[in-house]
Amino acid sequence: MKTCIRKDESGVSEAIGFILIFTIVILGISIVTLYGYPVLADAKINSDEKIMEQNMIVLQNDIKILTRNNVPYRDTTIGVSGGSVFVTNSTASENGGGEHFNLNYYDGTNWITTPYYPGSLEFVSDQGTAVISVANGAVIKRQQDLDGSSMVSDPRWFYDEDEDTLVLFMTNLSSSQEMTLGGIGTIQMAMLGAPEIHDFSYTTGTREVKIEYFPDLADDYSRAWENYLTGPYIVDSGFLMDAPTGNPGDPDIYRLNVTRLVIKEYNVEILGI
Amino acid sequence: METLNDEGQWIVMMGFLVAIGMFMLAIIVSQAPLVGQTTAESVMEFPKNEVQDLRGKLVSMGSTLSDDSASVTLQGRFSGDIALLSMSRNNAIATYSIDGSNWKKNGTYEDIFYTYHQIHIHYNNGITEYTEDLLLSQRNEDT
Repeated sequence: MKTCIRKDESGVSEAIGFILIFTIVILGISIVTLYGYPVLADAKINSDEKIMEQNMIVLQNDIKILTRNNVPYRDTTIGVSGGSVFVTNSTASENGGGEHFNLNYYDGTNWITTPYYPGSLEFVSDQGTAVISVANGAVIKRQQDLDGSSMVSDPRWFYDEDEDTLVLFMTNLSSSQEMTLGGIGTIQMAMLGAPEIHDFSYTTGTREVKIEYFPDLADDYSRAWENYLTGPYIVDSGFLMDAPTGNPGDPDIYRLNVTRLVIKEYNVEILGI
Repeated sequence: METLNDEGQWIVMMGFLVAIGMFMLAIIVSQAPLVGQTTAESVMEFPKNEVQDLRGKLVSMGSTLSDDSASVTLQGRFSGDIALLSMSRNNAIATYSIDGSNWKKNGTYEDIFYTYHQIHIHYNNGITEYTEDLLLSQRNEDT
């Protein structure tokens, strides 16, 4: 005689079945909460930082349009998520001993040292660790509490081999008051004054141009500038860099010999964000 | 037993296909590179007109080319002005030089109607670098 096993329901308990299914569901929920949610949060922070990197490149591009394409006003609407954007005024930066460049060059009769405090538009992530800054025409990124930094987008400094000419664009950001932006906002920028041009041709031979980078110790982008200046981005052979003294606060010094030096100073005003 | 009506299964299949398609599109969108500069801006930034302007000026200047000292002074001023204007307006290095070894009296680059001046043009705005050797013809005066 043949018995069908499936029809024999002795020993099947609904209570145990319920407990089994319930345990599986609870386990599933806890695994997603414990492991899945942090992964999702990380992914969100990462994507926020990527989006802000892109936004900062948009801002850099706007500044470039203001400074190089003779456009007086420029508005950009950006959405800031996962952090805030701060404007650091060039004069505030000077008073607070912030990041600056000293250009040391020969003007035909004297050696001149000119300090430039570029100021910055800086994004600081509040959940992650990224800090992205638009300063002096460049977009630079670093991690909070870590030493390194890297250049996301280069400034447009260039060197012409045929004429042995170095062209440096120094962009100052100024604002009437301190400004921060979180969420969606419109950044209004203007460049109303004509740029100041310093153009020196050294007829008697090459002269040395010395760029000294003084980092803000709390906001140090020296590695990015070092890689940019000593790498093949401006001159194939790179600038020559003096051996660092190792003292915090001492500048990194870069040297290059040229026969013509052009420095253009732009002053971009942040009207509001 | 009632037979299962499975004629509607294609709706579920289509649902899957659409979902997979959207997933693929999302992957492609997330791969978009970091760009803050549009293609149109890059095209506008290409200094075609600036180079053409420079060339045009040099071509229209052909009749003033000569190697006597007054012309050389004039040429020096002209090229100085071009260099200054290019730097202040276009942030570019623009220079030209005239190869004096090809003047008419040296007997090169000349036919019975024209003398050809070889002009070396150099333009560099940091993104685009342009170099050209332009042969500029100048009608010979009837002798």
